[in-house]
Amino acid sequence: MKIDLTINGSRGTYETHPGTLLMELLRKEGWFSVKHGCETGECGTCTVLIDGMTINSCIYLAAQAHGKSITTVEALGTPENMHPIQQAFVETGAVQCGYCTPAMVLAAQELLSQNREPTEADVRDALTGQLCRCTGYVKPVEAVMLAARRMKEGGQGEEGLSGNREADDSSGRREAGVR
Amino acid sequence: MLQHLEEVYFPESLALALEKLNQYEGAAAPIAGGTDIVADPPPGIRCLVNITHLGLDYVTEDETHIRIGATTTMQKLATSPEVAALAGGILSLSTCEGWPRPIRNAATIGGNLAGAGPYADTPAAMLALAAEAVVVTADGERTVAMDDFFVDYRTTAVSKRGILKEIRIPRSVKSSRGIFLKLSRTTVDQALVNVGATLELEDGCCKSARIAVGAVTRTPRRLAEVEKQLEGKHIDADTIEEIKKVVSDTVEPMVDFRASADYRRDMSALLVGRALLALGRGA
Repeated sequence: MKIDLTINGSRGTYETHPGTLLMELLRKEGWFSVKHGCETGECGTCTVLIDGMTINSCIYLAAQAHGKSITTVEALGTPENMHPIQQAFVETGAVQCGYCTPAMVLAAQELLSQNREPTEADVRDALTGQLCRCTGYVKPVEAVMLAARRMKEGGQGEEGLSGNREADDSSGRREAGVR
Repeated sequence: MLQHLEEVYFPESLALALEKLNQYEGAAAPIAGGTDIVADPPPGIRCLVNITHLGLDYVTEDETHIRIGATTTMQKLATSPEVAALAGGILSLSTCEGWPRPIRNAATIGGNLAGAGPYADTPAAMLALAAEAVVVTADGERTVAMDDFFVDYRTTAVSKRGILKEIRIPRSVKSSRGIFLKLSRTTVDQALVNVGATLELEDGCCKSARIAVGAVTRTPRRLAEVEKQLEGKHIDADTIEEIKKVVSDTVEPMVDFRASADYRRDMSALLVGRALLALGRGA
């Protein structure tokens, strides 16, 4: 079947099997920041933004994205001109092997595009779906908080990516009764 | 795997969606967020009918019911002030406890109910809220009480030729006390046990109760005996101990790789006890 996608700003029509996962299509097209991890939506390493919102592209058909706009971390910055989130990850040392990093950066981007003053709880909620098996979560949380401060000061929260600009509290998390 | 998939169809109306489901004689299914059906597709699926373009993404209220469109995402429900204000936020809790953001952005309330996965979280909340499902088939529209909705493992009243269109929650439960509790091995794992409970109290005593468990039995279900025993009781420590025993004696838990039947039985009693403790506070 034919599907229309905008990938990192470029519109295109793609011929694909109806059962193809979005993750498979993106990797075939050369967007290798989108990793092939668990295939069950648990590890988060295949995360991309669809119309500004994170989804797990390993449990999302390419066909479901028909007509939508996809953003991977390749669209955020370059090594010479990093996005403030990427810069903060580097400075905080929030990277070890780097496998989960693109997805964490995108999760942070979604949060900061909707909430310019996140609390640490907001950040932890936004990163919940992103598993890191080496460095842990303390530094990524610090990095996102640092990026939030800088983007607010620099007025950079609203630039760049197309997508969902709904004002919500971006959290959804409530007090847990059990844990 | 979906290697036998021949088609992903984007209908422009519910009627066209139903026509397509009929055409494939049971080998087609609706898809919205896809987090359930893509990760764990039913065998033999040849067509997926994408129902996210049919205007079924809403939370509204009329004179009698709060109405939730079937393709409303978990994220929308988790952040909706109307939903948070409903019976102690029971439904909000069931849409965000242990749901990572990328899943909440895609998964829909319709999929969580009609997918009928035994570990789903929202069924226990919906059972406790006395919700009804609006199901459409080629024969027309009908309303099914949540109590009759879950037929068996992965089987609901929607059937293979119908589409879940809307969930209706009676306004009368808005002011009930309500809570949703979930026990899982890690923050983002599926539930070992979840409990949805609403209580109506009068003079500190239980006038009526709706207590449901999920992830315990093959289908989410209400605990009828527990509800009966609660009626007229003051919610105090003695009552809670008594009720926990009723839960242990009556629940028939399943066994899987996550937990034994005994563990599920004990934890069901524990969670129902905690729910009552929280709901009875200040009564």
